[in-house]
Amino acid sequence: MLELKNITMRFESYDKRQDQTVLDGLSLTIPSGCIYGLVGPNGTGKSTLLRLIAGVYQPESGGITLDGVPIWNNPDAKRRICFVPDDLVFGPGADLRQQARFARTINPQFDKARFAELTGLFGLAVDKPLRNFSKGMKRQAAIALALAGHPDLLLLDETFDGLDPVMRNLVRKLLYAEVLDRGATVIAASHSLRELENTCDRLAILEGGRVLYETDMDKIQSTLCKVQVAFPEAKPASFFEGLGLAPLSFEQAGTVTTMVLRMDKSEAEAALRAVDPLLLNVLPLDLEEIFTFELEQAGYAVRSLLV
Amino acid sequence: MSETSAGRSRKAYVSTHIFNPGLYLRGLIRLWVPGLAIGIPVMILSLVISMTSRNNLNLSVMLVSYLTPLLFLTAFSFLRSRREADPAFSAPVTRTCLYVTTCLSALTVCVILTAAAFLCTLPNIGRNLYVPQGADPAAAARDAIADYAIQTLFSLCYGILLGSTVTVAIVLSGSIGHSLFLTLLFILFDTALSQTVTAYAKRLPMIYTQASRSVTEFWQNLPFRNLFSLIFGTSYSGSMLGALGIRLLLAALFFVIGWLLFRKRKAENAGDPAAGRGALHFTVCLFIFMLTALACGDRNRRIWWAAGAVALYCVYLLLTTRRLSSLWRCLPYAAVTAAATVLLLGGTFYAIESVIFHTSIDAEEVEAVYVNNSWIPEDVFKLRQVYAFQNTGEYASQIDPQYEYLKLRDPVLIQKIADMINKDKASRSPGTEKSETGLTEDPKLLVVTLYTKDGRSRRYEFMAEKQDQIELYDLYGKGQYELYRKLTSELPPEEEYPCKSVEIGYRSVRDKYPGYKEVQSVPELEAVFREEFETLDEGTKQALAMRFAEAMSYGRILNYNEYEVKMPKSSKDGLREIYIRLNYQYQQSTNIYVDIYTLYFRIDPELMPKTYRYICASIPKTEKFMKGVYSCYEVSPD
Repeated sequence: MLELKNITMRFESYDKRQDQTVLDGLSLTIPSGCIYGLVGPNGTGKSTLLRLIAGVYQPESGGITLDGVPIWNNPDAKRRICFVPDDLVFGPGADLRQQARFARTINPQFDKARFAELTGLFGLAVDKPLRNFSKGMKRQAAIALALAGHPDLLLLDETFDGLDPVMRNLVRKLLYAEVLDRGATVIAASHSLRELENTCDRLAILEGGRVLYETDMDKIQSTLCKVQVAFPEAKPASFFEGLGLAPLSFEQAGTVTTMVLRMDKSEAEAALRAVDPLLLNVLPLDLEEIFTFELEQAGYAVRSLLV
Repeated sequence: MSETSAGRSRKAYVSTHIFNPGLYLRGLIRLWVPGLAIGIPVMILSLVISMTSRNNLNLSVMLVSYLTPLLFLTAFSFLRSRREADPAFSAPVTRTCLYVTTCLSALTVCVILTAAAFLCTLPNIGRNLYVPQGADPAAAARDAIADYAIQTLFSLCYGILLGSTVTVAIVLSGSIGHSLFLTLLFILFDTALSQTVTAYAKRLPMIYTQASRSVTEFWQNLPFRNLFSLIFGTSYSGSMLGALGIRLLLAALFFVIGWLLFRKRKAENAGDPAAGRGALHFTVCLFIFMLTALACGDRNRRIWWAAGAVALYCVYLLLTTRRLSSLWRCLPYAAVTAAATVLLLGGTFYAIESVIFHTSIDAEEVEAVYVNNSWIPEDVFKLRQVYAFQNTGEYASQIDPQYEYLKLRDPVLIQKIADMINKDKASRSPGTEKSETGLTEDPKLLVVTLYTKDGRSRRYEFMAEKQDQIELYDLYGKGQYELYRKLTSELPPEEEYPCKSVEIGYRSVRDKYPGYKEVQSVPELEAVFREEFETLDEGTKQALAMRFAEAMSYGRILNYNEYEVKMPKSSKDGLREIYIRLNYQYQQSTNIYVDIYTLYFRIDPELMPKTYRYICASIPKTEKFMKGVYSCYEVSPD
């Protein structure tokens, strides 16, 4: 389990008044064996948070522990972590084979066979200089190197940046496998909620150096549902409230009404079938809509946060 | 089994806490481009130098040591780039391990390059080797290789020292510009302080010790100053193993400072000019301290340099931080540093001036005087060979460079000088500006040294009116002329030796190290040499004649341990090598000489036995002669 307690991180400027506080008393607990998503607009401290967890930065205050062991300047804890930054850097003139060799010297549990398997899956040439790789291929190479190291905690910054849809799916599957087979924890940061949709088990939204909202994905998806219903004549919102349905959003186009409801979809379906609608559809609700409704309920104007 | 497991865990501990082979390898890979960029030209240079000259063999290894900062700058590139900081700082090693491993990778490349330069020179080292007649060439080659190996070792130590200094600068910086700037400040720190004291000392009537040690020399002899001077290493004898050890110790100290700073270094400062506010303020304080110190030392000219440098630094700060506020945020630190420096150094200097300028001269105290007027007639000055032949119209104020420190004991002269100094002092207050150059254009400036009866000496620079000067030169010149006549009366008549000066360089068989001693010979030597030389065939003459550069190099090599060589007591001790130097001089008047040209010849005992024997016999004789001159006329040989 990864625990961040009261983390404050400030970027020093030459003028003290211009110091920038990126994280301000942030606390977070990330259970083992899950894919944890960090979402937030640019400059909210996602990458900084990942660097703090990776032991690159030292927090000004607060502590970060992995299974109760502090990470900062602790090789034993850092060996269990692998960080794939947004801006990838490889050795000068190195190819993938050399990078793997280097990774093996740093990390004794680097799995050569797994690496060969992963590069085969991605279709990467191990003997070509990495500088000739495209952006997406570099990302694939970095993920292959990271996964072959069998880290207990994998930190991915802008995970899917540069990957095509096929590769995104492949990476997703690989991450699932890591979590399911080995019980690894994956923390993926992105500025786009859509990128993390269908990937994460838990998700947190960062804003202003703090965690604005954190939730379990299964739970949030089971508490909200979107239905489309039609009657011979248009029904007002009060009609549905009378049925025990409290719509979070209510839209009407002629006799067709679309609503987002805070309840299980089977319960909503049963309640609406009881009044004999002409049409009843339960529509899929995407992550962005869920968060919009949830955060608006919580009083945040979050449209700007969710790109 | 358990021992194996313990060994493994120890190995794992070392690889994460002290030295990591993987990161080391990575560091070496990162350094291969700068390594080649330095290595290839250096190796070519080594080959060319070794094939064409026996001088400057150590130039290429010195070049490697001067370029060591580039290796360290490359090795620590992750402190300047946030991209590179991620993999470096997220590696499962401690900060200490990262620092040690990075330093070792840079040092390894430095050692490899030095060794490559050394090895490239080695095959050709015998090509241009000077082997005296009858000497064993193999032994001479072995000696030369040993000498070169020692030079290489010193160069390597110098490179390590420079690298350690640069490491501290790099850790305090986040950009290459600031790293280089800070490195320059570290390296120039000693020079700036030395300049401060020297510039200040030049403005003062200098206090001399018994011989000729000035305030500047005293400064240069300070122990901590010598430690700093090791960074540049110019004024330090490289022949002692102690120096080698001190260099390495100092390098270790700098590495430890770098390590302490590195442990606290913030990875997020990569790309910023200075590694945080503290580092920026430190740089500003160091810079301002140096400039203020220079200004305290010399309020005349360097203050404008200081002003210019501050302006330049402001521009640099603006360019790098891109914030105007960084300038005025630094201002309090700069002001406090400047004020503290002025209080400390300025106060000390003012106190010294107050004491010195208010000390009156008591003519009774003075035993002898030496006058050096710095007014040099233009026509003589153009002849660069002159040492200090100053003609005031009628008298030469100096007879010969050999008698530079000629002291006179004329009571009238002493009284005259004392009056002039007191007169000048009355018209001045402490801190009066004066020209600092020895060869000043100001004809009013006079330099005198007074020697007191209890052995002290004091040098004064003061202004005097022309009439006073003429009178002074008249007195002093007359005294000098008398001495000159007395001296020359002991030598044969001038016309018998058109060659005015003959010097012998030699080293004895007993001496462990090559040594060198210059002695003023009796003039008959030239005649003996000439006579025997004319009997030789042209080829042998050519072989014995040494080119100027060759002779200088020979002299320099011999001069290596000049002061450790003892004079052989007699010719039976034997001389291994001798060379003779003939100075031909133009005689302008009775007492003004100008060097015209100089000839060098090797003296081969077999080819020129008569000259050889003459020299062997004359060495004690010349020494006695010179000692006689010194004691008689109180001319210091040192």
